[in-house]
Amino acid sequence: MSSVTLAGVTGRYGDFTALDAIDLEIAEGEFLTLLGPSGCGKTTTLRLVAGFLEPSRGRVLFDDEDVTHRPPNRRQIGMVFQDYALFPHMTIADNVGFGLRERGVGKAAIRRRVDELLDLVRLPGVQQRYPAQLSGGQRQRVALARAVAHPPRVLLMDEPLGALDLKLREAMQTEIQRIQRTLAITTVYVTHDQTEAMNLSDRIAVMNQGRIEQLATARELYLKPRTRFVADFVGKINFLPVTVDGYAGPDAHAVGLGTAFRVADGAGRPRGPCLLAVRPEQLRLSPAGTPADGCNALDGRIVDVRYSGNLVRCEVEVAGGTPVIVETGPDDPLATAGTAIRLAWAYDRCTLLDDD
Amino acid sequence: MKARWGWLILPPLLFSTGLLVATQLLFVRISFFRDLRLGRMDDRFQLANYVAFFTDPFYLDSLRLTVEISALVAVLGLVVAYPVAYVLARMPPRWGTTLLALAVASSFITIVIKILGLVIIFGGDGPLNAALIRIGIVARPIGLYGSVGGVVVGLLLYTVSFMLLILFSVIQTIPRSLEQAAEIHGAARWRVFWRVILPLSLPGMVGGGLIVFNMAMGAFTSAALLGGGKVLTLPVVIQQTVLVETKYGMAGTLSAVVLLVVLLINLLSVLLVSRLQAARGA
Repeated sequence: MSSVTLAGVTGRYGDFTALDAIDLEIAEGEFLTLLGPSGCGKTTTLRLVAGFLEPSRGRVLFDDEDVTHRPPNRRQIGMVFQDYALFPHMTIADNVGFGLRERGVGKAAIRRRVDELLDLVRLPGVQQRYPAQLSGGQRQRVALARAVAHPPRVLLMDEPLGALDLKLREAMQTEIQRIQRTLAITTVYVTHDQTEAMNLSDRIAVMNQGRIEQLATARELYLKPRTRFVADFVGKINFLPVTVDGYAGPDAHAVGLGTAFRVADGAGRPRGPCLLAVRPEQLRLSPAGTPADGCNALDGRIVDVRYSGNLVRCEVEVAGGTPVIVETGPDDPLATAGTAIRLAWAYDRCTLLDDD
Repeated sequence: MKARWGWLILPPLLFSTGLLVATQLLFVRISFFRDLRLGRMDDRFQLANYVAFFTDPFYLDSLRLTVEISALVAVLGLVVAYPVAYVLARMPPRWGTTLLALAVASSFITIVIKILGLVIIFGGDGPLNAALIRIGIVARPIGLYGSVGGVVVGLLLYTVSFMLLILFSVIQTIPRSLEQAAEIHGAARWRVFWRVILPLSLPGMVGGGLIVFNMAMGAFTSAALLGGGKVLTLPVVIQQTVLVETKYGMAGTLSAVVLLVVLLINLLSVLLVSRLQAARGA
């Protein structure tokens, strides 16, 4: 197990810069997810760590060892591919033992280790079968067993659950987490699924257009997104156009939509126009005219209501015609189309972002 | 009522079956009649021609030479075409298919023209010999005309684009990620080739090898033009038997033997490969 450091790494395909001078440190034993839309550079980052792509600038380090120019087969990496990439002409035992055999481990030792690994991924007894005879989820487990067979310094996973259906995907998330924790392997995981990223990771790097927008824990990303892109990509969020016009201790005052707002810890933001971002579930519906003591308030009218079992999603039209999405409990008596209401939310449940 | 368009296939089916099967039956049939002189034939059904074939070292040598040359061409074709096919299959698809199309298109040029080119290149005062002598590799011009080597080169030129086409399509079906998986789990380049690419392209290699072998077994033009009457493969011998000796029965026997040998070798290879595949459970 090793820590992984990318120092000022730029990745290019021809003239196209897929990765623009990124810095990234992954601690030993950490589960880090690269999250972003397709084309954001997350797969390129993974390929750079794997060694399939050499950076045009910058360095890749495992611990303090520079592996920038080391070929993939000498980096001691394990990798799970999106299409599993199991060898169709080999038995499961030969697939799992592939890395061990390439590294000169003896036959008997390989057999023992393969048995052990198949137990670990809860798939005992399939040694003599071929990949074509297994289901998608089973192949995924075999691919995972192969990747960790010769304990890798780093485990890479490239959208490993992309090809599975929802139920299986959730079950495999638990499995992956269990195995990663058991073996305490430094893991870099690539996905475009934010729920998957939040469920699995110690930290998440949200990527966009070849750069890391924010690197933080799931909680921090969700509650304190640093850019509009992150706020928008991770979960749902409302943006209200406001202008910062003053400060009160650590808090900022802002005006917009004919209303004054207060944002906790907003003092770092300069005066001027920006966006006030607030999550739909942080907004409370209250009857019109309710006094706003100790929290932000905004008047509006419910124009649309959607029931989805565990919650009700309301579209509220506020001053200036801006639509705001509110998520409230399924039994909220105010959640009826046409009702005039007042939205309320705590000072520390919203944040100010650049309008870029 | 639904129109039975399926029947439309009947005329072309009959036509091609007639051409394919009837001609073969015809020469297999005459192979059982003994030649009298001047193209006349005996009317008694007998095995005399086959006895002649298997007792005359001239015919047996010719069969051995034909099989050897064909096998050599198949193997050399694999060796020559494999790396090219691999590189083309792994190129950006637009480039790969364009280059492949160019290579395959060149096979539409009649072999006669190509052999003419070969004769010029390999000729005593041709560019190849001139270059070889200037570098000092050989002292006297080497001749390919009238030698087994020349025939092999001609047959290679004749068959290599078919080999390329078949290998390309097989290699293209091997996902890149399999190579990457092998590489990242510790395999050096040649081990990736040996343990993953080669076994997965084996069916294509067998298929391509067989097609080239079959083509070479029946190839007359290259052997006749480049062999200069000195490399007596069975197709050349058959031509002489028909046109020079007018022994139609014997020519039929020779043709039947070629057919039989080709069938046998193909059947064995296919059996072998399908047994390998079956073990894989795929």
